[in-house]
Amino acid sequence: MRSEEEANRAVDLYGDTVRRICMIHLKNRADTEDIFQTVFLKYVLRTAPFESPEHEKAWIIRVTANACKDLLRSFFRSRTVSLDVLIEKPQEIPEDHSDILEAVLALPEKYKDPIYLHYYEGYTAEEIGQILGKNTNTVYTLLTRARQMLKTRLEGVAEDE
Amino acid sequence: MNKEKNFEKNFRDAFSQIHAEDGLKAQTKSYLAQQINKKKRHSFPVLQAAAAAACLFAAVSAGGAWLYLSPASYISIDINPSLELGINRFDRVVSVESFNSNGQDLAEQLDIRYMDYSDALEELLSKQTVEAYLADGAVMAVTVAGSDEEKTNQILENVETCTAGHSNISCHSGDIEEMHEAHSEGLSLGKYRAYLELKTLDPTVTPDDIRDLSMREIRDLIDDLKSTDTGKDEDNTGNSSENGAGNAGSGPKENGTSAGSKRHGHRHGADNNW
Repeated sequence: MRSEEEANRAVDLYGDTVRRICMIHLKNRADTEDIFQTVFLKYVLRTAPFESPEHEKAWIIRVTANACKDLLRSFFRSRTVSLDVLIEKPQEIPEDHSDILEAVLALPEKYKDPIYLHYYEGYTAEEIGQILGKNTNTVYTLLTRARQMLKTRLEGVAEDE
Repeated sequence: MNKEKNFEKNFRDAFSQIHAEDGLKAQTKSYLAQQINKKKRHSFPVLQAAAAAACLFAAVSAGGAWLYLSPASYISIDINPSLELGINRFDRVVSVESFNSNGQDLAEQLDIRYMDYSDALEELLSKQTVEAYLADGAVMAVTVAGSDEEKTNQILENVETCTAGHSNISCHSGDIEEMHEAHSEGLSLGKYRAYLELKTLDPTVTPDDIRDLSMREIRDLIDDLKSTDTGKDEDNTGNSSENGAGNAGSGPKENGTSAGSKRHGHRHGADNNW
């Protein structure tokens, strides 16, 4: 089990990354809090050392993506509406570049992680494949289709304007 | 191409606005701290229980070892060799102490530690050295002392049974305080009692004078002094009237000593003699 200092360092270092992945998948603050707790608790409980800071970051990304997937899949969640959702406002999207953020949020689930990891984190298709446990060619296909969908949507927005 | 680069830049700009809120980070940190401390706290009861169990085990073992290894009663055996056997609460011999050089030799020949005291006594009596002494007309005094009177009497009875076949062995019971006094003089209990008796007749006698004398020799000395004393001073001590004249083979019925005020019972062997 890791120490409190290590836990705090990880939250400071990877909090933004986890928050961005949560943002593209989840719609409310309560779920994001759940994911934060799940991901960093797993980090605290993991005793095996990381080979490098890159390995550590990739591990955090994979655990976050899987935790989001699990949360969205859960039977309870698919059949109920949490009080938080009813009480709380959906998370606010920053005004700047809101078109891009909204376009990413509108993508089907399976395209969100590859597109974020490629365009924001700068991972190659092969690296994304390793992180998400997918075939490299599958990642290429996902990226191409996602790019196409984003382009269509953003061009549509531009035309509307 | 420019369009693509433009898109990538806009994409990065869009996402770089997203940060984990301070509140969210603080909440996560406090949750993790709580979990880490809970795990630590949880591990303590186990450690505490283990430590408590270890302490209990150590205490029980130490207590058991103490109970087993500490003598509760003593059997002092004096011929010329003076030996003292420490008997624990479970009737086992846990210590063999010698009080003179002959006793030392005899102790080295004996392997009676942790034996039942009756067996140990049988073993001792069957030793050639001891048999030779007894056959030679020596007298043997077996004195049992212990803090528990009932236990002491029980041991004495057994000892008497063991020595019943020998006519020149006498058995007595003493008390633990008397035994400590004997030890402080460097004598075994049996010899110390003989010494006290001798001292009432001859106050100049010291423990060193009699340490290496055999019981027969001490007994003879006592008898000699007594026969002299009875002639010239009828009320020398309370003992003298009790200790009527007699030879080594037919001593007095009551073996009073100068420590006559002390509690010590008298159980005599075959011929009530030292």
